[in-house]
Amino acid sequence: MSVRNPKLDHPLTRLAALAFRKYAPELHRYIERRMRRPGVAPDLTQDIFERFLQIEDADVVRNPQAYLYGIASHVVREAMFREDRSLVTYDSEAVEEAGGRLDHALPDDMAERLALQQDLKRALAELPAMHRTVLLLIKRDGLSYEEAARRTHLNVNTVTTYVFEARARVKMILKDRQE
Amino acid sequence: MKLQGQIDRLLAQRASEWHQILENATDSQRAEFVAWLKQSPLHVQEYLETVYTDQVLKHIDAERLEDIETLIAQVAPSVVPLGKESLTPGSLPKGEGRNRRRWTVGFGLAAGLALCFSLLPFAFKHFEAAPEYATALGEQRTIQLADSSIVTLNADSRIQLRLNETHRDIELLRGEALFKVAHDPSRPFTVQTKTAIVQAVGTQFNVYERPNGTRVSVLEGRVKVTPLGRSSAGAGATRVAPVTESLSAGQEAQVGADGTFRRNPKADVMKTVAWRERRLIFDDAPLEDMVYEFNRYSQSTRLTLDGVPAGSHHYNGIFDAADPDSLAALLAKEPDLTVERRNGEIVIRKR
Repeated sequence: MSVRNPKLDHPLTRLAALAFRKYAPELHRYIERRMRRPGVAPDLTQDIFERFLQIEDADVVRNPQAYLYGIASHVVREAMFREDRSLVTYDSEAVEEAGGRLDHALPDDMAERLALQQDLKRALAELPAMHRTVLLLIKRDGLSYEEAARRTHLNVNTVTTYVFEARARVKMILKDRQE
Repeated sequence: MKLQGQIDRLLAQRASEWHQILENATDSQRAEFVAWLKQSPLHVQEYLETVYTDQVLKHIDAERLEDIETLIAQVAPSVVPLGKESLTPGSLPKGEGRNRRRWTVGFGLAAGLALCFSLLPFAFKHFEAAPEYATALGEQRTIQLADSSIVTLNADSRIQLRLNETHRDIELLRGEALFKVAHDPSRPFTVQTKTAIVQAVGTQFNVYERPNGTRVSVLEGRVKVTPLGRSSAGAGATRVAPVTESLSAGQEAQVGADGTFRRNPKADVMKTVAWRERRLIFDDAPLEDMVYEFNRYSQSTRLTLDGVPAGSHHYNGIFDAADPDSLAALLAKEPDLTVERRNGEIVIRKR
C-alpha cells in the first residue's frame, strides 16, 4: 500500500510538479544553452523570479524545488513557444519529449554532446584529487554517501561537502568555457 | 571582472550547498532556501544551473578512464590511523625541527651490546615519527582521524599528531585549524599551541595560533583552556600561573603570548570559521590584521603596509579570501592612503 506524503499532496504543489514533468526537457535545454551559449538564450530569469515571488511562502515551502522548476519550466516553455511561432520552426520532437524523463540533460546535437563530454573531462581533471574521487564514486559509480564515506575513510558529512564543492566547481568550469 | 568571478564562485558554492541540503531538508531549511531564492534573480538562476549541472554529472567519465582505486590510494594518506603503537604523549623532548624523526641515539656504549639489542625494538617502536600535516599559502585541507574526529587546516598551517589509546594530542605548530572531535571520554582530545592547551571531549572548536597568542572559539560543546604563561619576554616579565578556564558553545577567548586569558564577549564564532568558505569577515578590524589574514591565502599577491601606523585604520566587511585586490580597491578610496601595484605585491602607503 502506498503512503501519500501530505506535503506533496497540495493542489499547487501538484500543479507545479505537473508543469515540471511536462516541460522539463525545454527547461534543461534552455539552461544548457544559457550556460554554454549565453548570447543565444534569452534571459528569462527575471520573469521566473517575479513569478516565484508572487507565491505565498506557506505554499512554496512545501516543495520549493517543484515550485521553482514548475514556474521556470512554464516561463521557458512560453518563451520558446513565442520564439517558435515567430520563427515558424516549431519543434515537434520537443512535444514528444515533453512527457519524457526528467533527467534529460545532455544536449541533443551530437557535436554539442561531445563538446560537453570534453568539458566534463577537463573539469574532472581540474578538480583536487579528493573532490574527484568522491564525485566519481557518487555520480559515476552510483555509490551512496555512506558507501563513498566507507571507501574513502571519510565521514558522511565530509563526503557531502566534497560533493557540493565539486559540483560548484564543475558548474563554474562549464560556464567559463564561454569566457 | 575578477571581483565578479569571485562573487560567481561563492554563489555557485552556495547554490550547490542548497541542492545538497534539500535532499533531506527540514521545514525550516526549506523556508530558509525559499528566502534565499527570493533575495535575488541571480540566486534563482544559480540554483537552476546547479540542478542542471547535477544532471549532467551523471555522465561524467562515461568512458571510465579514471581508475578509482588509484585515486583512493592517492588520497588515503589523508586518513590518519589511530595505531596502538603510537607515541605516548609527552614521552618525547621538544625539538625545533619540522620533521621530527627522533631515532634515538642516546644509548651509550657503556650500556652494553646486550642491553642495546634488547631495547632497540622498543626504541624504534616508541620513537617513530609523529605525523605532521601542513598546508601551503592559500591551501585548505581536511584530515579525518581514525576515531572519526575531523581536522580542517586553514591556509599556511601545520599540525603534529600524537595519538594513542589513552590520549589524542595535537600540536598546532602554526596557523589555524578547526577540530570536530569525536566523543570519547576515555581519550581526552588536546590541542597545544605555544601559549595554550585546549582540551575537549566531544565538541567542535577552532584554534588560531598567531605570534601574539592563541585564539580559541567554540562552536559546539565545551573546552578547557590552560594558558601556558610563557616567561620568554625577558627578565622582568611576569609569569602568569596557569589557571584553567572554561569556554562553551558560542564563546571565544584570546590567550596572549604572556599567558593572559581574555574573553571576547562580542565574538561571533560562525564568523570566525567563515574561513572554511574562504571568506574573511572583519568587524572593526585593524588594517594590519586584515593584511595578515589576506596574505595567508594568496600565493600570487602579497599585501604590504608601508608607513601606515598600527591601529590607524579599522574596517568592517566580508571579503573573498582569495581576492586581495578587493581590499586594495577599498583602500584606494581612502584619502590618506595610496595603493601601488607592482610584481606580485600591493603596497599600501600613508599619503
